[in-house]
Amino acid sequence: MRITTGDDEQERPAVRGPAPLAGDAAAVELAGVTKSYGRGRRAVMALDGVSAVFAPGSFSAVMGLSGSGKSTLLQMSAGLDRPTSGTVRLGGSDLGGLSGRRLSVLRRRRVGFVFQELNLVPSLSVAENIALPLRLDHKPVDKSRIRELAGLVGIDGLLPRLPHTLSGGQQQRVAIARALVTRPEVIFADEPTTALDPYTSEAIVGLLRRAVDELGQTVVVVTHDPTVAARADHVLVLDQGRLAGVVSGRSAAELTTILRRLGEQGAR
Amino acid sequence: MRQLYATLRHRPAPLAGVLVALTMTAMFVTWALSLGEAAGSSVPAQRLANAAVVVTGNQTLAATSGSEPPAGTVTVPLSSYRRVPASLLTRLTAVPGVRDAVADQSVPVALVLPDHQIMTGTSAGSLTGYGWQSAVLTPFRLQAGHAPAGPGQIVVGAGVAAAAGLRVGDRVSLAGRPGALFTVAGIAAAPAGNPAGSQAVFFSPQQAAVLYGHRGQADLIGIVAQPGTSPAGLAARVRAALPGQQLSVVSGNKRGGAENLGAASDLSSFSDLAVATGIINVLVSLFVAASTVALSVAERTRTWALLRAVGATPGQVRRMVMTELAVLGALAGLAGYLPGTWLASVTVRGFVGHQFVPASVQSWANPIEILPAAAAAIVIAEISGFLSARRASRVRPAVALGEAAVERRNPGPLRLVLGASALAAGIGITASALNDHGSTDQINLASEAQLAFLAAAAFLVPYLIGPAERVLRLPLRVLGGTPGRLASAELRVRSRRMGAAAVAIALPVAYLGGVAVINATTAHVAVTQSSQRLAAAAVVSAPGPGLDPSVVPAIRQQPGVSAAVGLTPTTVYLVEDSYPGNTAAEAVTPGPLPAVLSLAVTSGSLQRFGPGDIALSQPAVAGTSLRVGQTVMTYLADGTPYPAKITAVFSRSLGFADAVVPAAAAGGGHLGTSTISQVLIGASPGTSPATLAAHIASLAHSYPGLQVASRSVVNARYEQSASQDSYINNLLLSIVGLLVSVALVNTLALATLQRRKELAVLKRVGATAGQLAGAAAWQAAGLTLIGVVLGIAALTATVTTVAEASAGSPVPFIPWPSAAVIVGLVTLLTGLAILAPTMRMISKHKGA
Repeated sequence: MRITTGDDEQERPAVRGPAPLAGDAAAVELAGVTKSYGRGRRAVMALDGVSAVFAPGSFSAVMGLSGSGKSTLLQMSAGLDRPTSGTVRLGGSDLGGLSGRRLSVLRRRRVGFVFQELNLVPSLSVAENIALPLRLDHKPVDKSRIRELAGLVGIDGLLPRLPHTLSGGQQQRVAIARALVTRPEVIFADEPTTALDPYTSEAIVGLLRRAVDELGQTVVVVTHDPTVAARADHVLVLDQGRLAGVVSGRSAAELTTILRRLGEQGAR
Repeated sequence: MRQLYATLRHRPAPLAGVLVALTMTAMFVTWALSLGEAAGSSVPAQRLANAAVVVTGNQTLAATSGSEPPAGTVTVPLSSYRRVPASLLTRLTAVPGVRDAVADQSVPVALVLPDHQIMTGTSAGSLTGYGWQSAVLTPFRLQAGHAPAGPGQIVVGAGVAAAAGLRVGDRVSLAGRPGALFTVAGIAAAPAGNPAGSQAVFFSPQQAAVLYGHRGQADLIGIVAQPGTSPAGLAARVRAALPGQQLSVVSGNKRGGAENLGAASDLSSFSDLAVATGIINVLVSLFVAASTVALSVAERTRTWALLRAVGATPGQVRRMVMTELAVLGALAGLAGYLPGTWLASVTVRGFVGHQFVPASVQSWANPIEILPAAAAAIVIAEISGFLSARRASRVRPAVALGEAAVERRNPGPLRLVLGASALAAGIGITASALNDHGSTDQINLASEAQLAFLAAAAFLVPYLIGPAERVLRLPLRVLGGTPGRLASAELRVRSRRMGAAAVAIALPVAYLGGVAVINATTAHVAVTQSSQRLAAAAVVSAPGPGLDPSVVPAIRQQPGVSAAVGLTPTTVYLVEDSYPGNTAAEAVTPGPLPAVLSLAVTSGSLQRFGPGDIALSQPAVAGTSLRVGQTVMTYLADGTPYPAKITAVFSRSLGFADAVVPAAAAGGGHLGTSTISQVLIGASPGTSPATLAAHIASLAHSYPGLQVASRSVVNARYEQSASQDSYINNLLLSIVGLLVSVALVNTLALATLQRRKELAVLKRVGATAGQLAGAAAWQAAGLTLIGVVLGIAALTATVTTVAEASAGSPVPFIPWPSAAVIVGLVTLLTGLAILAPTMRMISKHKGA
């Protein structure tokens, strides 16, 4: 499936294919990943043979309409769930061979998470939430690092508070700080800004951008918001479980058009 | 991880529920432990406090098992004194260190006071008469007057005198005994705090011997030591001076058992009771704790999913849950300690007050008990949390990315297996209980069966909620409108939570209902049997220990009397399968038994019943090889062997006895008591009840305190007393009732609080507070119905078993008033537990 924009008839080839770039191991690599739920007649194919590569130090967005499989792709990539077929490699390790326990360990050391909402453990303070992955890994917690991260994401002074006393935007900032605390290979964010107002969304995306630019993190954001996707280096477009294409350097408006076209095609 | 559960205090509600459940557990463990400790305490010698050494007959009964090896010996304690020869005194006074050797003879008495009131005892116990020689054993000291100088004189204990208002010079007589008046010659006081002072009266030694009736014998010999003699050493010397005799020589703590023969068996049945109730309570607590823990863990599914997503291993999540539970268990142990010991002391005081256990039994608060109570609470918490912890650790982290709104549809196969096995166990136990007709065993089996059925109900309830909801759907919709629909949906969708709630309701219904029905059935049968059994036209009795045996021929001589048979309750040890079983028996004086007692003889005959015979009840012979015509080895109350031929088997035994022996068995005087408690009288044809009563009442001059009652009066009185529940039943019922009620409210409140989010959504959508309250009310109604039905189902098998056992018919006698109270209580608590939190949540989130 080719992606065309309304007024530009030139076809742009995909900039990224399945081959890794310049000898660096890819941060995340999916090969032929398929995920179906249910059996027989009631089977639902959430992902259908998706292959993708996320280079280290890149800010990628996964975009698509509702039901396109974006969240499923993220779950596969992060090791939260296992594909029905295909392989997933995270930082060079094949996730397929790992037991549930090893996956857990991998997640807390090498992956950071930001969810759409309900990110934080309600009974722990902000500081404790940020330190959570370290504690789970039985690693010592450096208080100054927590403060440093808090400052980075802009929540100084909120460290002793409980999550339910914070606004949505503040909670997301805490989630980002937590995602950063173990210096993971990849940070996955699932619709991090959907529940936030445009101004706060902008700030959150900005944080993620800074994490990539200043800290060298790899970030993969799943979103249906074109303004968020526009900030990414590359946008993978998913349509009905398949990779429709990879684009980069598009504006929010262009991305919106792409989405609308997909929607119209799907409706027909 | 410490931080994790320390700060979990911010969401207190579900954890509070778990804590309450565990605290109840700890409370009952403490209660059981305290009672056990109290029961294990040794009974100190009180009346015999001054007797350093006590010599009794061998107060145990030994039976060797049959010919097949290994030949073992079973010993059973005797409940009456196996008397000792008074001639031992000469030998004993010669032992160095002995100051006094006293032949102690006891006679239960009731005093007819100067104002014609009859005094049978005080709060310390029943009145007993002794020879004045026994006064030194306590020791009693004369406060006023002098020792009894002759047969007509009596010295009363100070406590007795105070209670009766007696003074030196007053005249008293003995109830039920023909004979002279006694003059109070003196008042003697026991040492301070010794209850003997409120129980004892003293006759002259000769008079006591006459009343005692066993010439040359005594209950025991008490030995007062020379000052400075060690009791243990003296005991050894005494034992050496009595070689080759079947005697028991005790000193120190063991004297209490010699003084109070019933104490050992009272205490052992007390501790059995404590253990049995303790076990039941612990198991019930397990049920309750399991469901509360499951609810509290399930409420935090999101948190577990988040932790898993962020990288916690399943093992770490499991450990978090278990650690949390361990901490709660420890806290519960602390919290439950004081209420538990308080409850234990109340229980003991009640038992002492009703004289089920000796007054010396006390329950102390022993702080060490906190440890086992906390340990038990922790263990129970861990066991009940085990499955929940596994479930929490298995939460798929992907769930964190979505909304886990609906519960897993199908409960796991493990539940089905456990439920099916519990059901099978219940059925199996019931079947074997129906076969086994020994009545006490049957009751135990019945309660085990009930537990199995309750467990089955708890496991299988999720499968049952679905069909139950389908049945209720239409009525709820029709009667309840939209709120009814909401209630019905809640039942359908949250089957696990609703199941837990239904079980919490079924538990009190099954337990309390079962006990109530069983009690009512047994009482009903006893009353029915009693009135059918009494063929006599009138019954004569006297307060206190009863009537002198001479009353029977005296009655027979009265005009209008065609038959008079005296009954004395006694104990017989029936040796069956080498075990001497303690059997309640009635001893009867010679006379035409069938004329006054209609025992429903099923085989053999009671026509000519005399020494050498024995009649046994159906339950006594069921399951044994005993048949009419066989000779069976028995022992009478004081251990005298009595081989007897079984002449009859009878079925109307409830409330009567399991064996009938002639009063003259083994020569007479071996019944443990020499008085007659009742005389059953047959009227000659043509004699009216009033005439009969008048003739017999004339005997009251010779036998003070004699009372005569016609058959209808006796039956009415029995019915009245049987309908009053016994104290033990009430107490245990209250305790268990408390437990299950708290459990009910706890579980339901918890389950209701979990609906916070749903209520918020419903309110946003536009439901009014009234509609939400209505939905909650209909839900409560539906749950109550399901729970009550489940509870009734669980108790049915138990109740029919017991009914079959006591009445021969599986149809129980249902006490409708008690049943209504139980159902009403359960409905009220359910409604409260569901509506109160709901109303609070509705009003709290106004405008959210």
